Amino acid sequence: MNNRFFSHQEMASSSSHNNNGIPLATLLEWYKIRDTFFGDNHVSQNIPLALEMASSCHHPDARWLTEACAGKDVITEEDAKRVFSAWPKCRSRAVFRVASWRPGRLGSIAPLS
Amino acid sequence: MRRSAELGFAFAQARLAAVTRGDEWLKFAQLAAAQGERDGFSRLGWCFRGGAGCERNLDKAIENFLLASELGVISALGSLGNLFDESDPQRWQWWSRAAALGESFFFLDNFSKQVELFNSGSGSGAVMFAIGRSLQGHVIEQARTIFGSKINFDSFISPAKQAIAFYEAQIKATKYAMRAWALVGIRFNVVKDVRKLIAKLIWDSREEALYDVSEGEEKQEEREEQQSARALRAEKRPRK
Repeated sequence: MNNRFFSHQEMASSSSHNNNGIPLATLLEWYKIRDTFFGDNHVSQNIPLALEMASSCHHPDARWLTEACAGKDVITEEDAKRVFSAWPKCRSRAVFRVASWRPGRLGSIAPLS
Repeated sequence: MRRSAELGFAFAQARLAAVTRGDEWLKFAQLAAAQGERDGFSRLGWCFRGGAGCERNLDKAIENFLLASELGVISALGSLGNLFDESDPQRWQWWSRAAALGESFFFLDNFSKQVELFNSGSGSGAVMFAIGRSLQGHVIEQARTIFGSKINFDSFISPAKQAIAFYEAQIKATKYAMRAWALVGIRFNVVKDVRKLIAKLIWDSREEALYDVSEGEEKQEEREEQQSARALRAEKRPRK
């Protein structure tokens, strides 16, 4: 195996990321919010905390999430699914409708309207 | 989900890549990765690792797992470790980083075997060093946890302690070697920069676990005995 990437546990440059010009710090902040929202990546699920964090994040998905849940009592996955189902602009972000879904549980994905 | 992915939502593309196979897996992983989606990099790494919809390519697998891990995908750290042979210390470095962040399965399930191999004389000192270094600070005896996990604590605790002890002894032995070199260097008027350079080389070699720990300890004990004997003689000497 070619070990050139691994000398001193060198990491790839963050400049190689293409995330539509979103600053890396904002991107990482958003991933943390997303992990908290979905309970992914070894983060405990806490939807209210994720929404609170999203309210001060500038990532477009965080702004969308904040707007979608504004003024609604979103505590559980069921609450989130209900809100997203009723949200008119959610098509491209419809993945949020299946907040309880995990890889391998394809059967639980709700069909898009 | 599929429509969301086809409409270009990177997160949906990455999620879809996780539940599709072959060409579709590759396609959605590439689409997500092209948008900088961290889970896309991770899925793409898996495609290249296993040759799903593409030629197997370990360099590309590594590249994508690295990008994913840089963006915080903990499982990518475990995947990176899996790309190395168990006798390669780098496997343990990646697994320990994953374990410290919550994914301890790979590390805990495999480290005791390496300790056993080392004890039987067929293991690697460098691996033992890497394991010991990784475990340091992550063994909490009061809470009976290793890397935050209580699973199999009773069977893991002894090899964990052995690995940590080996690591600490190697560090100690390296420091002795550096001190000895410093004395020799000063005695023979070696230029300061050269002295520093060689001391650095000694320090850097600690990870190769080159030092005979027992010999170092014996010599240290011998030194301590000599020092105490000197101190005793000085005490007995009548003061003027």
